[in-house]
Amino acid sequence: MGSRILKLLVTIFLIFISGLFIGGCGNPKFKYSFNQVNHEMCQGIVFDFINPTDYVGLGRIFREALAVDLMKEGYIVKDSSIAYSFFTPEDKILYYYMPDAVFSKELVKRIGGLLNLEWIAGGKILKVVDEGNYVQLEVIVWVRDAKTGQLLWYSYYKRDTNSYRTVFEFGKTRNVYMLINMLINKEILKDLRSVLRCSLVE
Amino acid sequence: MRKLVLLLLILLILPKNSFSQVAIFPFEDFTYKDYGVNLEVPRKIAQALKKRGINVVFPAKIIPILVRFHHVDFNRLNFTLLRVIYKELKSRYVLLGSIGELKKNPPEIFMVLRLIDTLNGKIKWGKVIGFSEKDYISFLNLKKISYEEMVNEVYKNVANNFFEPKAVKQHIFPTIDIQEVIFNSRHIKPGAEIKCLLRFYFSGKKPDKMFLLVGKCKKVKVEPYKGAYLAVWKGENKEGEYSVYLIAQWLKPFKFKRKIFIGKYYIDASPPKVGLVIKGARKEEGKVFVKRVLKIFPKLLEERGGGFNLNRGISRWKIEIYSKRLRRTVFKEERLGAIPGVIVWDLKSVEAALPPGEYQIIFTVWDLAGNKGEVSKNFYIVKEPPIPKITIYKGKKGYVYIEIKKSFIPLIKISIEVFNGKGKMIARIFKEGLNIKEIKKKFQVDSKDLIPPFYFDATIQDELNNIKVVKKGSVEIKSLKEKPGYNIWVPEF
Repeated sequence: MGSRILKLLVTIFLIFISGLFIGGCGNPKFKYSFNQVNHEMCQGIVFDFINPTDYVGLGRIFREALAVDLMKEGYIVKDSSIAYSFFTPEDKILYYYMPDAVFSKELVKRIGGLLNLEWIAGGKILKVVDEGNYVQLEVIVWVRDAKTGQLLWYSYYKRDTNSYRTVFEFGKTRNVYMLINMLINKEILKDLRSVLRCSLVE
Repeated sequence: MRKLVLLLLILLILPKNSFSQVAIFPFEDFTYKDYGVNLEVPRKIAQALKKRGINVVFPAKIIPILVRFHHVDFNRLNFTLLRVIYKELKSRYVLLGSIGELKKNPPEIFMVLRLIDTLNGKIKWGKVIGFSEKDYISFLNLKKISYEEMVNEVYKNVANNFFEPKAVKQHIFPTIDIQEVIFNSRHIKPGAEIKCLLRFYFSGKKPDKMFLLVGKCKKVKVEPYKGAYLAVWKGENKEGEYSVYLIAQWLKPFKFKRKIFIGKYYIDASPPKVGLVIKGARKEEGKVFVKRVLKIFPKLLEERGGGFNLNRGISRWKIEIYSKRLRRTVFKEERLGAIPGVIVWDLKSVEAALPPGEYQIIFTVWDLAGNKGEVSKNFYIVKEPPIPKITIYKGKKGYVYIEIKKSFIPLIKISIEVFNGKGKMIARIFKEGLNIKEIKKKFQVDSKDLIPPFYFDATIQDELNNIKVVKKGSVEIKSLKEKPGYNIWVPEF
């Protein structure tokens, strides 16, 4: 009788533990890959993420964190702060009023040619929720071929406080910036590695 | 060969650690969810790096250079600024940073550091630093981290893991960057004069030759003009889009040139096509009738080509309403910018002054090149229903045929009583419904009652809901033979 109760308790405990692990999975994510490129994709640039939310600076921090992490991965990343100096006055106005529309094939190719780039990455922060101990982030990341200006890949991520939780409170992220860091390191870099094929990156 | 020896000599003379300095920029600070500048954190990082033996340039020294370059945004660099930092501060590397979070209670920090190579703009080293006490789980709560401990740990960590700067053994070229480009207009009529004012950032020797390359092969001189540079040329005759590049050329000893895209302009000779839609009015047989409010919807019938512009290629517009009866313009408005979605003209305010009758709307637009497009539309102001024309046809055996002809605006209600010369009512007609155009009715009247002159009293209402009461309206009397097709008349309809 006693062993039965023990077995039952162990089973309940195991279900509880597996539930905790599963709790961090099943986040919405949509990925689309378009064209394959034949050339190496080593040298590139990450542009500021368009940030229409009230969270000022988040787009820039996202860009910088992603650029630094890509550089650490082995990619040759140029700083996009220089690329803006190659924008014409018209591009600058368009970037101010309609940042979504600025990255035309022509502009991507022009900047790619001037800075000798193979890819250009960027994105858009769609939603930020920061309510005490709960944070949520919705973001789109894209990659364009700097030689042709074509869109190569994009992905949508929606993550929150519990997305990277493992057991109990471990892995919970209650800060938006920390959530960005986790998202980049745990998912975006992994996804980008399959798109940006480079012999310099192991 | 001589040049190579000279270059080698220069490189040998250079101290080993020269140009290996790191220039630390003020950091961007988004802590207060707004754009801010932080000098404290970069200064502390500079001190920590200095302790480690790395040559650093403190942020305070960078500020005068940024002011010279009109740089309020530390994240918008250009190669000229980087070259100045390299040359004047002898710094091969620039450390940029952005602070997202820096809180004391509970201790939280998030910042990203990037070390940029001034020669090629590559990120040579970087660090994402993030700590949040909310996410920090200390077992059994044995230790809590204070703000001071946190920041000291950050400075120590940055210094220990910092990139090892190397001395530069590279010959650097002069640079040029565009500060400002101003065209007199980017949309120009064929053959018109184009003026382009340019301001540059230079570092090192200024270019020996500078010219603009327009289209594929047209070269335009760039000459100094009041502290800036000016290029003037005549626009092409063929409509289209033309790219403009700046070609800066350095002769000896550098022997290189730079081609910078500065923009596009558009030769445009076609007038803009515009249409007008009128709402709030009644349309009948091609005529527009208005009583109170006129809503005019101007529409651009084709997209004006030529790059991005907020006003869809329109520089200004004008609306005029002309009275044919008064022979003058009764309403006029002219504005700069895009054509409006709707223009509402409330006749209530001007009703007393405007007589009924025919009016003309003239809508004119000018595109950015100055081409003019115009559209006009006529309408009628109707303040009261028109008095119908009544004719009595005398027939045989005491029959009279009454014909009521509509005027230019359809009626929706009509009540008419026809009287003879002695004031006796000989016929009554009432009709209600949509779009009454014509009434023909046959009555039998005692021949004794057919005493002229006939007249009528009527109450009429038109489609615009104007109501009119007519007393003693005149009636025309004709013989039945004068009415063609009288035999098809019916007693009732």
